[in-house]
Amino acid sequence: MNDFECQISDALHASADGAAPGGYLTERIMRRHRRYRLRQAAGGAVAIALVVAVPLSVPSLRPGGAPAAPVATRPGTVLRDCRDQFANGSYGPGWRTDSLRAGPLWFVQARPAWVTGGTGPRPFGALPVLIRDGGYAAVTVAGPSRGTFRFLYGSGTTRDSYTLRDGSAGVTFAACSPGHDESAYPGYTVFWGLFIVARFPACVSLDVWTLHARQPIHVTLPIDRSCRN
Amino acid sequence: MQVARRDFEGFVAARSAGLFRTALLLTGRDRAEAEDLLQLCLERTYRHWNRISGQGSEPEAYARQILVNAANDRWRRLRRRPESPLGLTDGSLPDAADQLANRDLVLRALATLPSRQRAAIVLRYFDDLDDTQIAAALGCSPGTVRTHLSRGLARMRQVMDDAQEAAQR
Repeated sequence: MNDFECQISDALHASADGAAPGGYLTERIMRRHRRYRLRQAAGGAVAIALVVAVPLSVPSLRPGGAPAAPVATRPGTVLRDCRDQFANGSYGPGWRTDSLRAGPLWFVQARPAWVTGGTGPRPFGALPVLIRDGGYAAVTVAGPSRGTFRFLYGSGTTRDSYTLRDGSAGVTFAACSPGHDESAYPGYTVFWGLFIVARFPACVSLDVWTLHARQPIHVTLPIDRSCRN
Repeated sequence: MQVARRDFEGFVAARSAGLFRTALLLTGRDRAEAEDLLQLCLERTYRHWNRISGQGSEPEAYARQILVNAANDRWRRLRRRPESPLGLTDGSLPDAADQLANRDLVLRALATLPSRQRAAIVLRYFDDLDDTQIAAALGCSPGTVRTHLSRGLARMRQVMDDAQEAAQR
């Protein structure tokens, strides 16, 4: 740290050190949580009423605040649903520009992918996903990278070091129902996640399976700028 | 359920003060806003407690992500409202002591930064996080973190130099 950085650090510590939140914090959190549960319950009741009144043919498009029921977890993938969403992702207003789209799903700012590095035995990078509310997509690795590329979504994505065993070869994303109010991107559910690789390929081929599709959508994830899409 | 609740209460007892101090700096030392941010962040953490408190998980990093992004959202909302004076809210404005004046200057400069630059500065120089940890909290790449830090520091230096020049005139 240079002198200027030390000056900033000292000032921040001097102005915040010793500050403490008010009392009864746990009680206040639990009170907030009870209000949240009540809102959820009210949303669920509205959803049930609507489902009874207007039968819908596609189960994942049920309205209301409750998570959409996953239609199916694709074999060889792990399920990530509304409970795993990263409610606060923030990628700027032009996030689509550098993102890779496959049906209802966007790999955010993945052209090229973010290579993070890390201190562990396997390199890794960030691969956040946005998927349209009510949407469903299963992602699997295709081609030669199949044995050397893994996904990691949900908890446990804030470490410095990973092995391939920490990840999975495929992920099924089931977005929240339309109308959920937690996303920073209205109309989308955000999943924060990583890819872990045994060695860096230039490109990785992915298959994205959407609801009722017989054939996957093929996309190429550029890991390196040398990847020609 | 009771065990999870007890674990969570232990987490709150151990980590809430640190998260509160970060919230305080992210909100320009607005204590009421910081309290609200802290409660929001811990309530959301509690919602997912069973998943994020398992072995190998870091609930504090998860809580920090929520805190930082909620602070960014708050800043976005504030920007849509009519401008209100930035600065300290506890009445400890210019003091004779150089140290206090300098602290005040740093906080004022910090308050002029866009929310993500401010968050990067606070997480680096108050929470002592490295690029990767800040990237996880902000949901961006470490390269972007370095850009935020560099631009944030440059902007703060500029604001502080201008303020000192004005004071000397």
